[in-house]
Parts: sequence; C-alpha cells; structure tokens
Amino acid sequence: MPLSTVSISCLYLAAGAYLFSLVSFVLCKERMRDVCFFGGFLFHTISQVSRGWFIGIFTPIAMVEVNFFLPWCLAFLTLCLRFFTKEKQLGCSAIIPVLFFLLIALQCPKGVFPPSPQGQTIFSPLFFLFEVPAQAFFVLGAWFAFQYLRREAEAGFFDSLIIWGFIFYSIAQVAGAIWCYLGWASLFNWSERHLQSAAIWCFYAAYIHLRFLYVRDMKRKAWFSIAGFALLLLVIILGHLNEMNMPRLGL
Amino acid sequence: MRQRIWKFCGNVSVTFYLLLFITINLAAASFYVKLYPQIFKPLNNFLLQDWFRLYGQNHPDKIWWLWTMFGLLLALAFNTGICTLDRMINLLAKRKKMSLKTFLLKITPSFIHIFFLIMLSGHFISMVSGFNGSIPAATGVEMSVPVQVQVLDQHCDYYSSPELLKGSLKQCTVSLKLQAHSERTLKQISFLKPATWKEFSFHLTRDKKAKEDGLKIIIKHDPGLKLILPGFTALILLMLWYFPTLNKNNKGG
Repeated sequence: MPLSTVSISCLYLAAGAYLFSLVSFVLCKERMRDVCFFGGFLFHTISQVSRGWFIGIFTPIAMVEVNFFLPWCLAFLTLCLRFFTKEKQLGCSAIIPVLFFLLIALQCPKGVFPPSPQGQTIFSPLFFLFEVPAQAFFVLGAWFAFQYLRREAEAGFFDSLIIWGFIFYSIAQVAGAIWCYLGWASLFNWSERHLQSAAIWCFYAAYIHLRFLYVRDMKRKAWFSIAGFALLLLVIILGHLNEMNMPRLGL
Repeated sequence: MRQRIWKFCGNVSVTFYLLLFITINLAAASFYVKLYPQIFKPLNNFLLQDWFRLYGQNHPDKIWWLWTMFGLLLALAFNTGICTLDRMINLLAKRKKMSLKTFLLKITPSFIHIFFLIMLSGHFISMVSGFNGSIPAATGVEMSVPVQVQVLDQHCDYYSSPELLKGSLKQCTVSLKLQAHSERTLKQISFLKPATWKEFSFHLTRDKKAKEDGLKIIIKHDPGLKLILPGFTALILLMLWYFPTLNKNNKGG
C-alpha cells in the first residue's frame, strides 16, 4: 500500500476515534474516552509521519504543513495536559477543538506542496515546528479561557498556555526571518503572510501586557484570549482559502 | 505638568492600546498588500524612500496604513523607551532592599524591552538605508550595482525521480566574478546559499516576472540585520528565563 494511502486512511481513522472519544466524554465513560483518544492519537501520528514520504522522497515540510499539523499539535498538547492538570475531565474537554480542526483538515486537499528549491533548508520545517504549536497553544488557551468564563476556576492555567504560545511564536518568527533572508534576501517581506504574522505577534504582546494592567483580573484576560482565537481563526481560514488553488502532489 | 506628560508617555496602558492599534493596522495592511500587489510588491525590492518616489506617492489613498503604522511604531518606541527608563531608575534605587535573584527577575522585562527597541530600530534601518538591487542570473550578464558583478556560469539540476517530481527544479548554482576597485573574487551562489563579499550579500532567487525558469540575483547591503536577529534572539532567551521563573516564584508564594 503506498504511504500516501496509509497517511490518508490513518487520518480518517483518527477522526473516527476522536469522535468516539468525544461521545464517551459527553457520556462520562472515562475508560472508553481514554482508549479512543489514545487510539486516535496513534493513528494521527502515523498519518503525520507518513505524510513525510507522501510523494516518494522524504519532504519534512509536508509533515508540518499547518492544515494537518495543527490538529496533531492540539491532540499532543491535550495528551500532555492530562498529566499536568488535576481536573482530568476539564483537560479532556480539549478533544472538542482537536476534532474541530481535524474536520477542517479533512475538507482540505490532501496532497503535499511540490518541494521548492527555496524551501530546502532546516529553517523552513523549523519555522512550522514552532509556529504551528504556538497556534495550538493559542487555541487551547482560548478554549480553557472559555471554560474559565463558564465558572471553571481550575481552567485558570489558560494564561500559561498563551504565554508559551507567545514564546513559541516569537521563536518561529526568528526561524522564519532567517529562512526569508537566505531565500529572498530580506528578514521581513511586505506580504500578506508576514503582515498577518506580525499582527498576531502584536496582539499577543498586548495580551502579555495585560498582566501589568489588571494583575488579578483573569476574566479580562480570558475575553482577550478568546478575541485572539477569533483573529487566529480568521488568519488560518484565509490561509486555507489561499492554499486551496495551489498545485499539490500525491493525490 | 511635565512630570504628568512623562508619566502618561511611559504608561503601560498606552503600550497596551498602541499594540492593539498596531494589530489592527497590520491586519488592514495585509488586505491592502493582497489587493494591490502592483503597488506593494516592489516595496520588497527598493528602499522605502525610493519606493515612495516610484510607486507610493502616486497612490496616497492606498498607502495611508504605512504612515499610520510608522506613527504608531514611533509612539510605541517612545512609550517603551520611557517606560523602561523609569522602571530601571526605580529598580536601581531599590536594589539594596532585594536579593540579587529578585532584582534580576524584576529588571528582566526592562532588558526584554531594550532588545525589542534594538530590533525595531534594526527594521527601520533596513528599510531606509543600505542597498537593494537585482540583476538577471543569465550567463554573461555584467552590471555595476555598486560592486561590479559578472555572471560567469549558471547550472540547474532537475529531479529525475520520483515520477511525480520528474523535471521539477531541484537546485541551481551560479558562478560570479565580483570586483570593486582593484579587488576581485570568484563566488558561487545557490538557492538558500548566499555569498557575502565586503558588506554585500548575493542571493539567488526565482524571478517570477520571467517567462520560464527565470533566475535573478539579489544584491543586498542590510545594515539593520546585525540588530534585528541578535535583538530578537536575546528577547526570546530572556522570555524563556523570565516567564518560567516568574511562574515558579508565584507558585512558591
């Protein structure tokens, strides 16, 4: 069986398993919820790794393409949260954003972008390796901020998620700037993509400054992180729409 | 009165709102850049003042966001500078009342802001000074921009396998002869492997304006580069130390 078929089959299997996990979560069947989530994550990981060999040669950038890598990062962080949060049920609620972004990924063309000679540097996968997890931190931060506003005081850790997201996003900007300099002779390009990244960075920089303004007002921070999610979602959707008509290989 | 103005200029609330306005401004900018590529794409190939003379001044209704952005960034730079200075003076006055670790933790945000200012000024310097030019990467091309560049040879490799990639461009290498006054040298450049000579860097890129596999060489002198990358890296390293330490301290009460 070609690896492209393995990748796509595993992606659908992962979506099915996550869906069962969500149903079990709603029905409070803890064991079933965990088994389905772990199974889903396993299929999801196989799908992501096999994307690297989708077109017959190893293309690392295909493994970290936003559409497919974001749901995987969300699932990975959800898995990590199970070990770091006391409220297991609250941590497991993150299956909802995981499934949401996986369903968006399933609507996207599944092939991979042809490898460009200007993408063959360690800095290109490195950029996505930090940018996409940063987005996952922001999404989960907004999700738990929403839970916090629903009077789940234990969800106050959303603030730490946003801060880690900001640090990851900043590292991604440096990796991206080096990539841009090597390939296009400039650290910053006057393009839609770069300006949107700068807008997101400034928004979360403003969020970081909230701690100096309203030290104990977590509600304000929660609303702000949800607004950040709306901005991020807009950028992600615009990115998806842009990429819809781009040539892809493998399927 | 003077003190009140100073306090207002360095206020964190002002920082917060400035960052929000810059976010909105950048979001608007991304739409303009997408809608009018014929105006804004050349901004990547010229210094700001040259771009303005050739393109910008003919479209005042479409470049308003550039002026508001510069205004907001300038205000942010002033605000950050004043806020940082104020905080550092305050902390240094209280230095003896706290342990070294507490002092370092408290002064770290000030250093983060200093590196942010270094980065911001680097971007400004990159936009308005240095040199930005390009020549076609075809064998025999010779130009003086401002060092004399001669393209000696151009060679491209294409994928022969797998089937899906057959015939696609893999890598190109261009040999250059560079000359300035009595000095001369030979350099090779490829995609993502630029060469540097004197204060100039030579980058091989694809020329989207060319009909086929057109290549061009970008010749650049970017004085802001030395400020942007180290500034941003230092800012990140400090954040990587500051936030986890702060979190640990808060948890420990």
